[in-house]
Amino acid sequence: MLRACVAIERAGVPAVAIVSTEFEVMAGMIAGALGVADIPLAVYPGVMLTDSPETFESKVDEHVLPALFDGLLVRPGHGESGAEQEPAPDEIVLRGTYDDILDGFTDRHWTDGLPIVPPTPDRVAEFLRHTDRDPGEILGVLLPASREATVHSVAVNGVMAGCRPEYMPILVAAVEAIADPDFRVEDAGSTPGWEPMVIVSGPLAAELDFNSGTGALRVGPRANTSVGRFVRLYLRNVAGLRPIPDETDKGAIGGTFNVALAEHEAAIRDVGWQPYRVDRGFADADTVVTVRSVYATSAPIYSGGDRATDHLATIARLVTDVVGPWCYHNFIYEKQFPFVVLGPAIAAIIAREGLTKDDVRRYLYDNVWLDGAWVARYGRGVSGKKFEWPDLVARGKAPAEYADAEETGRPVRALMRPDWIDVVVAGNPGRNQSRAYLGNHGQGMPVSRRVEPAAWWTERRSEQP
Amino acid sequence: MTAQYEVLWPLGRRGGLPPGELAPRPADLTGKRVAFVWDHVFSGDRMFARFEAVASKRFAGMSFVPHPEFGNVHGTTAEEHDAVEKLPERLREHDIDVAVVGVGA
Repeated sequence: MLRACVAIERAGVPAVAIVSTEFEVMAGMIAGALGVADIPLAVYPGVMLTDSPETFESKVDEHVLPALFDGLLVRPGHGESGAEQEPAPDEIVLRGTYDDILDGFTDRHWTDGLPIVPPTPDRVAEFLRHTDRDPGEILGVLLPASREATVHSVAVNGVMAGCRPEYMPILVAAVEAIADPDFRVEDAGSTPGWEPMVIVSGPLAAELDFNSGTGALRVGPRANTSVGRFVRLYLRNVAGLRPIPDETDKGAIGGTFNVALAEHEAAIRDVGWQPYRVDRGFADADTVVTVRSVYATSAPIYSGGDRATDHLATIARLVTDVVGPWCYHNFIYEKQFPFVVLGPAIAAIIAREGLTKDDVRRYLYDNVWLDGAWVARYGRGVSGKKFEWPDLVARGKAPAEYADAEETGRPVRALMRPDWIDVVVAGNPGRNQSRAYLGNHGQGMPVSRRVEPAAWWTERRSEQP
Repeated sequence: MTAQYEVLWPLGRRGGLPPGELAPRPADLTGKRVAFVWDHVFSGDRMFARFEAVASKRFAGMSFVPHPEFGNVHGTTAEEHDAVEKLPERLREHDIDVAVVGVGA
């Protein structure tokens, strides 16, 4: 919404943005980062979706309308004059003991609340030695802070997160994915509070000691944990997504960072399925990083039986629960990216009957349905959006037979496309567990990049017996 | 002796478009043409209607261009990008003087 406002102002037309109190600070930060500071705001006090119609009208009359008139007519004074002086990439910003450094980073909101490894020039240089990319290379400009994502800042934040220098190519690939416009990092502070998840698929995962077995998504193993932490730190420091003080991260309840998930390479070989990186369009020999949003996680579920459908039926129910009423997004934003993590034993049973991952996708697409009345009710509850099945049918966003879904509770298809359902094999090989995940429609859609280690490192690997 | 550290900056230079100025404001809204630009959430349509009713009484000769003319600035990824990209052109086409944009919540 602020991006539209800035576009209007840059076109020479005065604009005022209507926001709720909760978004006031965030709006100012985003407008400033987009280069047009001081866009006037008309602030609606409180939570509009819990106000009665009478209270809503009264607040609009008393607060929003006067601010709209003021903002359109009176040019506000500039709050900031000129850009503040900021450090150069190779400049020392703090000196002192470990406690001095940690306190300094905490005071400046450069940490995530956990201790960091001090990003000294020597440590950063060692990370940079593990990539052939130029430290000054700009991988993208990340909103909402509009800061340049460089290879150098990847190294700095990688050090801070506790990564090993060998992870540097993984980190660069992750930031390239985040910087892709399709990922929509500018929306990573939206109120559902989604969190990026990194999925690593390929031979380097095992070489770098990523855990893909028991406790695959547990904090603990350094590779999985520090890479997951790195992504959150990078969003905080370079994209500028921070609940405090910028209020650019508006996750209403939010969650912690996700440990990076590694595909279980041995299990995928055993069952004869193609690995996730090949699903994503890369070569089998590649190591590929995929970053995607996750805001809904299912319960862990056990399925029993020796036939594929015994398990697929349970997994379909699991996916139904995790998609839940969020399937209203399908009809508004027209994007949806769920994925399931299958334990190796589950994948083995399904594959034993000759079924492929495509068959799993098709089964889920055909067997995941939700009550149309509940979907409509939830859609209106999220954002007050007018969500009427007949209107969606008329606009070609829903099939004709859904027109009476609210009155009848007719089941509506909850998954959009089989090829948008991802399947990853990981977890304890000795148990029969699966889990399902959902991202926030087109925000944080899966984006993949090939990992490119430094040439010297690749040569050294090839020389090893 | 306690170890001493020197550390680097974890952020990055500001990028993107160069800073811009706010557009000049009119002295009053008499005869002005208003664009309503909406992200299709949080009852913006009701706020626009109320603004139109009150503004029309306060300033003579105002006119209003409804939000569908400017697309959905928070729809699908394609809709959103298309709507924002085409805003300058659509503002010119409709001869817009000022814009009311909502709603962030």
